[in-house]
Amino acid sequence: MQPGTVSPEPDRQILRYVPFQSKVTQGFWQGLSDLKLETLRLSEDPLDILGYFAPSNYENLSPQFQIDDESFRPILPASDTPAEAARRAQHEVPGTLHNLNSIERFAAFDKQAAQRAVNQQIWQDIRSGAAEAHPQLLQRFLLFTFADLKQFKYHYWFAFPALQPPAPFTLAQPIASLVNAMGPAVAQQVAAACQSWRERAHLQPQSNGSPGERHSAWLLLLAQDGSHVTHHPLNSWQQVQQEAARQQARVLLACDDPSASERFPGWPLRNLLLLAAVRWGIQEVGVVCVRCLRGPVSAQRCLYVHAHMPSLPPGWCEPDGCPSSIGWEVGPVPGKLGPRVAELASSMDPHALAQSAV
Amino acid sequence: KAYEAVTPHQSESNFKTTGKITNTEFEIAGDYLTRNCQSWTWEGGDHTKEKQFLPRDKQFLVTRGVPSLRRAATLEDYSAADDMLKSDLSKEDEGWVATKATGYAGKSRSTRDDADIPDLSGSGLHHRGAKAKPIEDDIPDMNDLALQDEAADEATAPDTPRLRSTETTSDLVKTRTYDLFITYDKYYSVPKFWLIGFDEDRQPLTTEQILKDVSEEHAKKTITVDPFPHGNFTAASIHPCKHSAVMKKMISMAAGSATSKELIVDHYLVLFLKFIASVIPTIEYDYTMASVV
Repeated sequence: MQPGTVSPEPDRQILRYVPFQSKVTQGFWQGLSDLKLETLRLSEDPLDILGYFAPSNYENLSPQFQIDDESFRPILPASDTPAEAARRAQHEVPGTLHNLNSIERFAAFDKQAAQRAVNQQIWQDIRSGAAEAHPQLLQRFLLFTFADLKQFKYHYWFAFPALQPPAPFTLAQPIASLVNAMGPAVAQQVAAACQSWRERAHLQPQSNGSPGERHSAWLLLLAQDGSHVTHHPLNSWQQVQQEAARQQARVLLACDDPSASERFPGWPLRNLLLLAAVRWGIQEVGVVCVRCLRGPVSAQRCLYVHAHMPSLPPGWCEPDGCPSSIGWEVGPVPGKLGPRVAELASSMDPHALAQSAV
Repeated sequence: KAYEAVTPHQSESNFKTTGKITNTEFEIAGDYLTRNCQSWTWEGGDHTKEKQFLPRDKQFLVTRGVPSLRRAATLEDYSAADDMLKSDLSKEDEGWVATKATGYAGKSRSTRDDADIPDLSGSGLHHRGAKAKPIEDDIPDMNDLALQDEAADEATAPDTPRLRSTETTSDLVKTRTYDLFITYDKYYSVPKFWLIGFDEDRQPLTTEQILKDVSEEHAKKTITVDPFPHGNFTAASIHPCKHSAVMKKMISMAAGSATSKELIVDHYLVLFLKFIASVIPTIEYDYTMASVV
């Protein structure tokens, strides 16, 4: 922190997050190649695609953000998947793909303008309440690609925009495992409520097929004196709040957490905290970072984060302003932002395949 | 495909005598697996490729991002185990499957515990170093892009994959991961196992690289690369022609040893995964069901 910065709680630790690590399957590159040859041709119009993430399921693995052959579903009406066949273990989030025609275009494209546009979308979805009804709007992503189809070489760069509050969120108390923070009995209750949220979502096929009603990664928990914990969707904040006041219960935020770190939660928490600060005016909140262990929610692995919100100056970013964001992925050079390259000739080039098949 | 269209479904369950299962039994066994090993889930995939003999939302089983901390070559006494498997398949001896499958799984797990991870990350680094160069040559410098100075972002965790240096105190390790799929192969009336792999930087593995995670014997003989039936990609798969023979043996062994519980078709995929573990010893499967059969 800079010397001149005014901070009401100078000794509070800043809440920090583990960024996503992108994972792009060969199926995605295959799909993009087909699309470019058959449909897009020289078009550089932005495309709606889908990305996927899941709560951490194994210890020590970095947070994964996956795109694959199913990411093109929004632009391939013929393969429109019925709602009941949607993925159960992973959360689907909306993204924008900018596929560019040359390496020069890829380098020169105004990525920051695209980033600002996404910032605007996220900010509007937060302020309008859309993000409470459809929480997946909190985790939008941007993808820039240049597909060198002759060499089966794909350049790409992800951004996972996280809107920045006027000052960082801080920790009201050090991050701890859920069990250490709440005791084993309550932690079990909390984990059971999160597990039931996941299973309930699995069991209920959406009658109207609305994508917004899928199993969400962001939810509310109502903890009554530790004895009984229930789960609620984000858009029931007002009711849950009233219920909590009546029963002298606590409201917690919960967020499926792709991070496996014992010290830092993952990226999806950032925009949720901003939403809580902006929409609900919360100053301090307990957050359960929901993690699994080989399938079921694990009370041992979940983190408890007691977050303290920065005060939002009156009129902050209103009515027309928009916070800036961060979230560009690092490239192959350690610690440095930059694009990556997938070289897939050996698995996609028909000539190479024919030779290795002999 | 033509075969699927014209043959009637096997309606009678004879999985104990043949090692084969019907599509309905595949569904039963899949339900059991997803209930008891929750990292496996049913999915529908690309519904234009839907198989009519399975429910729309239960076309195949999948688990994603499974870590693989070691390469097959580094697993000790691997070839011994494989020799057993090999000789056994040819000799039709009795008594090997259960001991080998479970015994080997146990062994690979205990060796995994004292796996020397530093060695792994070392080689990973090497790999990255080699990769970074051509990229720098290739791409016009984008540093002039005045992206936000994210390196200085106070709220980004410091010792994460962002900073990929060896001296980090990160509690995350860089390792290969796999997405695993089980489909139903109607021709052979058995499950078929598929895998796609990713390196330490989450780039797709080539078939050559994947073969290093497969037992030497199987890598040469039974792994093929085919189009995945429910999506638009190719994947390594284990050719299912020997599956029923192996499964028959495993079933008879399991039935012989299990004193209290009767082996039912629900357990089929759990046994199947034990068999797969002998073919691909390097991936961390779920052994949560070991006690059941």
